[in-house]
Amino acid sequence: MTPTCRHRPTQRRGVALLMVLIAMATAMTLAIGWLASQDNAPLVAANATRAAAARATAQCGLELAASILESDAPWRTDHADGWILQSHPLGDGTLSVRLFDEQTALPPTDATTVVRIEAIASVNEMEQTAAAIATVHPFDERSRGDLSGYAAFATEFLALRGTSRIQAWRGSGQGPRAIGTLGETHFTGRSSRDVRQGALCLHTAPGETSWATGAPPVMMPTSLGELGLTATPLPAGPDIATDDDFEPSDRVLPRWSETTVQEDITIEGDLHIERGAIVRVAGDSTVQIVGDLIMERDSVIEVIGEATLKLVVSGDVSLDKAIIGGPQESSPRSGVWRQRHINWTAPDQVLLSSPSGAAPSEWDFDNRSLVQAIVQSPTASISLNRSTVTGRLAGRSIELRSGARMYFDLSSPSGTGLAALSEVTDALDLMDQREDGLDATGRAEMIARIEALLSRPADQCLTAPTDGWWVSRPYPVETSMMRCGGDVDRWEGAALAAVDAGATP
Amino acid sequence: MRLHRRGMTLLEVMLAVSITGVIGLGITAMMNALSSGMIDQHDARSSMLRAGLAQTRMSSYLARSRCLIDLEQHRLVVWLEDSDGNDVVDPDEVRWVSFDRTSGTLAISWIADPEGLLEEPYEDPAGIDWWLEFDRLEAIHGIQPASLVLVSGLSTWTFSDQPSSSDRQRRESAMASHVVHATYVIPLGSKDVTHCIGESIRMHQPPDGGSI
Repeated sequence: MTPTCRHRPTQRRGVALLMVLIAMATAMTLAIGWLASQDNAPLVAANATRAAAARATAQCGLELAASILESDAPWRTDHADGWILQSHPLGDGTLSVRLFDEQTALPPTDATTVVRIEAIASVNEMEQTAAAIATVHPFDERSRGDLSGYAAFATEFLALRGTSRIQAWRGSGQGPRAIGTLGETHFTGRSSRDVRQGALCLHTAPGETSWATGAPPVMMPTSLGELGLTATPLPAGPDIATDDDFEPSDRVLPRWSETTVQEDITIEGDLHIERGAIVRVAGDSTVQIVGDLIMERDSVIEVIGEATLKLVVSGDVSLDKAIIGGPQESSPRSGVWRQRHINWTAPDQVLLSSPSGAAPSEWDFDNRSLVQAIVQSPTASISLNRSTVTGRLAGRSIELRSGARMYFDLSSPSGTGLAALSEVTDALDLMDQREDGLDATGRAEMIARIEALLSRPADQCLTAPTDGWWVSRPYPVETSMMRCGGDVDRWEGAALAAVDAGATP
Repeated sequence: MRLHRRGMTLLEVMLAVSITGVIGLGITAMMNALSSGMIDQHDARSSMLRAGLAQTRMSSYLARSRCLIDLEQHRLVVWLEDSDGNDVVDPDEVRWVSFDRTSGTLAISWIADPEGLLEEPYEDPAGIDWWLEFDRLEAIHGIQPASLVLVSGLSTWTFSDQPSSSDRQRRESAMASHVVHATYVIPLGSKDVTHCIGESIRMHQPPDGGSI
């Protein structure tokens, strides 16, 4: 008998399907997991948030730096290669602040008044930069007598007529061309338009000028509210020492002669430089003239190299197609000296002034004369007639006419003189001339601060730190933001370079 | 010998087919959801990046500007800086921002004056048609106009402006404004995404009369 073969019913049906389903589910889970890990939207959003936070922190850094500049903190000297803050914790990030002298692009020094602030903030490794230019006004007792900010300053009368103009010496920097007067003004022609449009910034005493249209003048702090700050008289040259038995004796330099000066000279009478005569100044010299200075056609007072000349004239000055300043190649064939005709000489190499107590005098620069100097006399009426001055002018009265040119060296203002003081008092409306100024309390407080500054001996601090912190902030600081996040100057530079490259064949 | 060839019953087959169908449908739906989710994420990311870029670029210009000098629905003019410190607006200190509907871009334009031809500042900024002025400056020989695209791929860009009765009033109102708001639409595939940005001028210093 054959044994019956009995198959057990199989239990394996459907297992394959189940296995496939499990495998698919596993694969899908892994795929979804991988895809989820590839989603960087949260990172992008976090980046945007961190960038915004870092930008805000950097702007706080600018504010913080400006407040340090307003104080007596020793930021000019107490820095590490310009860094005044490094990795300073602020908010959710850290802040580093670096200062540069805007004029030298180096870390600040004792002389720094215009500062470039760079604040670099880092929030979770996201860095953002903000930058600003700050002008610090450490006014002191010298400020009211410092006229270096004015291209022309007249105590009694200032007139710019016809086609005469006051311009900046191209390449000397950037800044306002300020002119100031405590008395009357008279502007016609092109200069009138320059003043009206604000190209020439007029500083004047309250009530002296009625102004109907155009840029309003800046009010000079001849008196500040009830506290009163009177203007300082114009600086004078050194007194001329003469003997008691002094008798005038003129000195005449004959035609086409040449004279070299290397030391101080006192001329107890007039100095008359005849036609074509040349006086060369080869050293640091002071020439004192008790009488008048008369220079005939083509005569020259020439300063050689780095030599300096102080020309102190008690009487009148008369220049007729003459030159005072550095060596020039040739005079223009026609018309006045313009920038393209002139070899630059630093204006502070020559000072033309009058001694204190001098009688009122007439200083006339006529007929295509060229003066490269600081011309400063409290008693002189200075007149430029078809003539040119490079430097600056200060006098009792100043008149430019018949196409006269005045080229102002924009690098010469100290930034802490009367022009800057006037700008600050005007911006804060301390003279209470406008409606947008400080309120009475704020004005009185600011006037008190400025008074304290103006009575401060030079280079002397006003305040001391409290518990190690410089809390008091006596110095006015003007700030102007230059960068907030993106560097637009660089963007624009690149765009211009691309335009240039495209234009080049 | 009798082979054991028992097949699946009809019921089993139907069950298997229906289970497979349900699972297949589920997988398809999931894949659809996944792909549309990925597209949405991509769009959102792209939109976010472009919005962030727009904000950063606008902020870089507006935050450091001294003031607005004109503001209309699709364009504005800013006084970027007072580079010569004279407290009045000079031509090379102005930036013109405009939305070009044709190219869908928001661009900023300016003029460079490498030869120093433009000496005269603007006496009355509120009285100037700044767009005609740009055309005039552009036409001067020796003046170099340039422009930069700030945001591209836009459907619209609209600045929030105030209703005004005259051009002068509009400019004066712009000069007094410290904040700029804008709404813009970025097309993403078949849909549009609307964004808003706001930026403030950090140190508002209108011509002739700044603050310290």
